[in-house]
Amino acid sequence: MAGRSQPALLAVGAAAVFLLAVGLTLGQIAAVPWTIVGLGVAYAASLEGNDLDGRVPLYAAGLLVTAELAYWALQLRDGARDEPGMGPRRLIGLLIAAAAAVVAGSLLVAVAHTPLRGGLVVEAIGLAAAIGALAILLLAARRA
Amino acid sequence: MTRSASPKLGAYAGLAALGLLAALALGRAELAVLAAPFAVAIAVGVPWAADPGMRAWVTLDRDRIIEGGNVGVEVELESVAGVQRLEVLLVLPGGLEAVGPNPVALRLAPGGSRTTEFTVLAPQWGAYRVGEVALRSSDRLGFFTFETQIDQAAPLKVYPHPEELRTMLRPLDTQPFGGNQVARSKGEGIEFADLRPFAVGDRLRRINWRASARRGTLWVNELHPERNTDVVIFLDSFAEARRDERGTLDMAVRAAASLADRYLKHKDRVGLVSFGGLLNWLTPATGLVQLYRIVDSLLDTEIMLSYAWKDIEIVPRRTLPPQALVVGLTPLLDARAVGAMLDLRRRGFDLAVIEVSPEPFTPPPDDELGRFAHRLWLLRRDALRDRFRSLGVPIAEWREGSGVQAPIEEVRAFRRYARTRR
Repeated sequence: MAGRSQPALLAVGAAAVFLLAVGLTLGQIAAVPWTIVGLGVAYAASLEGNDLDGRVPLYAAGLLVTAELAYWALQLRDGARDEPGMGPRRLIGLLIAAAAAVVAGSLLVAVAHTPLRGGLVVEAIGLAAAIGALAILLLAARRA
Repeated sequence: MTRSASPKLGAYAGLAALGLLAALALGRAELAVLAAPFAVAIAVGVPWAADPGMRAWVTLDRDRIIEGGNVGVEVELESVAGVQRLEVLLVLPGGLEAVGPNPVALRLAPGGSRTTEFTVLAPQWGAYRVGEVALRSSDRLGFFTFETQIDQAAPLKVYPHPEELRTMLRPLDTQPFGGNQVARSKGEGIEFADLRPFAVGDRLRRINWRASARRGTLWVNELHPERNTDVVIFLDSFAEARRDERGTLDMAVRAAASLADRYLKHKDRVGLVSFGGLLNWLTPATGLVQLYRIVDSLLDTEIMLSYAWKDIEIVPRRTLPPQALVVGLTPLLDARAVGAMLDLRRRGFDLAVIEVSPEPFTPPPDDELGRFAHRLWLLRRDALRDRFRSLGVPIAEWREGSGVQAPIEEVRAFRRYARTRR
């Protein structure tokens, strides 16, 4: 995907941040996923060339942390006051999750860098695996 | 506990799906890496979510308080699986307020138990049930919400704050039992009544030596005995005038509690008739137990709409002893209560009425016709008061903002100077 001009990317990113700010202010939980989509679109639009971006695990962890913090803020809006010690505990959990996201993302980047021989068959298996993973995710979400 | 999926689960699933689809469509592995944390979170979080298996017990530190007081509510919580964040909400009925944070969020270790305390303020008298608790928790990743409501409500009685009364209405007649009221009759007592010549059988200590010396023969003192009296509080609960949180029924109940408290302290027998849509009565009795009975009965007083015609015949005779003082607390809004009180007077009962004025709660309307109607209404109320006075019934208006002592003094003054027709 060709990179886009800086002002356009900044506009998309700023719009996403603005949406998050408005959503947190008004207590609109639906603003969070759309914020992540906006930030993801801004990142995707910034990609240039065919080389895999090595910083993507950091972006992935950043998106996860952004989403988690936003949901945390919205949870605290409901008025239930946390007892002392709950905040730091949750923050530590979030940092662990972010670190795990970086590690997982780095593994995926390493796997993506590995050249695979097999041509169309391998491509088809990969596509089926991706669709299968998608289906499992959606099924799990639906059953829940 | 009821389990439901939170919006976060759908959002993460959507983000993961969108990222994977975009990666496939655009051929950029970076988008799959962006989606991976959300997909892994779902893959881990969904199977990991388990019902925390909550149990709770609720206890109150007291079941009776005076209005304006606080009561402590202790909630003991137990969880089999443990909860990272449990929200506890003490559900309070209208009229009670939580002092301090409500709800609260706390953590429970697996198999552990915690106790959390709430302080509840009762600014308004009444009978309440306290002890309903709502619990809400989520799994570790916040994908599912577990909710339950525990009802261990226990009764809480909030008594009206009695007003200190300096003086009381005294009945015209006393009862034959000992009390604090100076009787009209003569007998053994402390208060001087009269002098009479000595008769065989009189005690020597009753001889009035001064009078005897002046007259040359023995004269003895006659005394007024102290007796108790019967008082029946007649509470009109057919209708009330109300504005915001205040109303005539609140004032009447507080006055009834104050009067009952004061009369019972003076060893009088006090009964209660709550005359309204819901009829309630207590035969006169003495003691602290009777005070609790009266106040508990007052707590159940409420306005219940009823079109059924009721007169005084419906009240058992033993509730209204013949020589009892009947103190009526009424806003004079319902003809049935007014008719019953007038009927009591015609039957010879010693009646005094404290009118709990509804006028402060019913301001005149803005339009001319409304103001005219309001003036007519006030004139009708004046005519009603005159009807009572013509039968020798003292009636005093009591407005919000002043104590009940003022109308009591007004009634006392009327009884002191008016002739009572039997």
